[in-house]
Amino acid sequence: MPVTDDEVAVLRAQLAGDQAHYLKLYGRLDRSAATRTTYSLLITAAFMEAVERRFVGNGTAADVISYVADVRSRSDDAAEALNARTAERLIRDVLTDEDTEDIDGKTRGQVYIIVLSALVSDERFDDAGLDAFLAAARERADDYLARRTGS
Amino acid sequence: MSADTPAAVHDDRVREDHARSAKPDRPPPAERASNGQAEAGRPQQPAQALNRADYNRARQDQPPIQRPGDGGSRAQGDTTARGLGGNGDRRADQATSGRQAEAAVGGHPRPDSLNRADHNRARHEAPPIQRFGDNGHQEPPGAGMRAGGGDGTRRAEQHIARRPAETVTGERPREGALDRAEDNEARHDAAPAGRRQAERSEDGQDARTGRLRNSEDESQHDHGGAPSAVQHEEGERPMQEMPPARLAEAGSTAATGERQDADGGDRKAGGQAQPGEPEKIYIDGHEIEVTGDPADGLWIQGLPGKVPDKAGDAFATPEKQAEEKARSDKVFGHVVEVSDDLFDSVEKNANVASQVMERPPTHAEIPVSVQRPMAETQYHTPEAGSIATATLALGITVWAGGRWISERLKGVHDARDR
Repeated sequence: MPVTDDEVAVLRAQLAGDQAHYLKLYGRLDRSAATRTTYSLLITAAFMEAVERRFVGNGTAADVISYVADVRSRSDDAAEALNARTAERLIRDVLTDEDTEDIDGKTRGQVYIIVLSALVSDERFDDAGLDAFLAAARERADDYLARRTGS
Repeated sequence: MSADTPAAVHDDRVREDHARSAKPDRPPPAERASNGQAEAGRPQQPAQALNRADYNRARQDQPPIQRPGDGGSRAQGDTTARGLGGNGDRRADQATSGRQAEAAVGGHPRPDSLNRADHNRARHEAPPIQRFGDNGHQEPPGAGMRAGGGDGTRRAEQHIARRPAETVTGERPREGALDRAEDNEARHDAAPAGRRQAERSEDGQDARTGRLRNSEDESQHDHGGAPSAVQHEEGERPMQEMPPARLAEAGSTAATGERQDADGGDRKAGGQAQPGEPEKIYIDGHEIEVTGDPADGLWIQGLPGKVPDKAGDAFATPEKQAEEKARSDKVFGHVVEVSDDLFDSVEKNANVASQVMERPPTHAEIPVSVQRPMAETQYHTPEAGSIATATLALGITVWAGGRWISERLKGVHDARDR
């Protein structure tokens, strides 16, 4: 089952900073196992996309550490919710062969959504840019789902 | 040997010169030996050396040595002369001058040898050496490079393999390395190979997976000029190059739709940028203008060095694509296992996520206490109060002055009256 338009719309509202619209759309989203999986994959794909845009080619391990510290400094809640070491490992997992099998789903969700929001905010996308970003993330998730279903 | 070859003409000319200069009463030793009259009445004098003229004459009577360009098969002679053969001709050709060539052949300079002009003329008349790209079948540059393993492939591979060491260390190219012209040629030759390689990648159904795609929305790619990976200091490990799977979709606005189109049909001859239609792609924090012009060079993702601003074409390697796909699958695999928890966690942290999207002020604000709003002064329009104050001050001054003057005058008059 591929990523649906509703799931993309929910994530778009959140990344656009429209909290009210996000809550409204999120309330409509069904909570089936398939939706949980595809929405989680969509967020993961968006996280990977954003991390690559930010760090691939010109980023170093030091840049990752600095960036996580920067995100944690943006609010007290972020500093509390975001474990620096875990966040750095999950970012490096996208870029290198970091082993993150020991990180549970709850922690992953925290890191993915917080760091993803920070990265997208820093990119300063306009509407078209945000659409393009989400389209790339959606395609990446769909590609994995298609291969997973086919195999 | 052909009679009209330069060497033959030269030999005839030398013989004529010797015929004019030779004494009639002293035939050449070879002639004397051949007609049997020379040694009949005279004792043999083996220890007596021939003088130079006799020696030269004897040498002239011998058939000349065949040289490259003298024979009927010029191409073969030329090839031999260029090092594919062996023996004296090769040595002669490798010599740098006519005298050196003679020394290589016979050990002595020979009057019938080719002079430099004749030698060069003979060489020029020979068919040109076959070079890469000059062969008869006129294969398009780079065709069959990977599969066929032609010279172009090797050059391109050498070029790619050589670049890291040179780029990172900054050393001069080693002796025997490709020069600039070959380097450019290899770059141009490698372009179709990379494209074909991308077309053959993995499943073989998406010809564009190895091709960097156009960015339809350029506004999102404003990342400034970040340094490339090799510019980082040692010890700072740069992250890997842009993963090819990511490259293939870099900056694509309608990526899904485009891919669906491309899967079923041709798209711009395999995705190559056409000359005159520059595309812009986003890669490694840079915007690259893909011109489609081979003169602008080729950029292959994964090569070290600074990402260029402009390139003729850009490619991703299948190895990189496979590597990136494997890494993505690993991450997705972990997520699928914990998707329930992840989904709930995302919901709970939505507020924190919205907080980090609003950056706090980057510097401390120092409050300035102002007791009351201050009216801005109009310097060029005098106020009524100011005029009244000035008039009053002027009046007091005039009055005080008048009083002082009158007192002084009064004192003067009093003194005069006394």
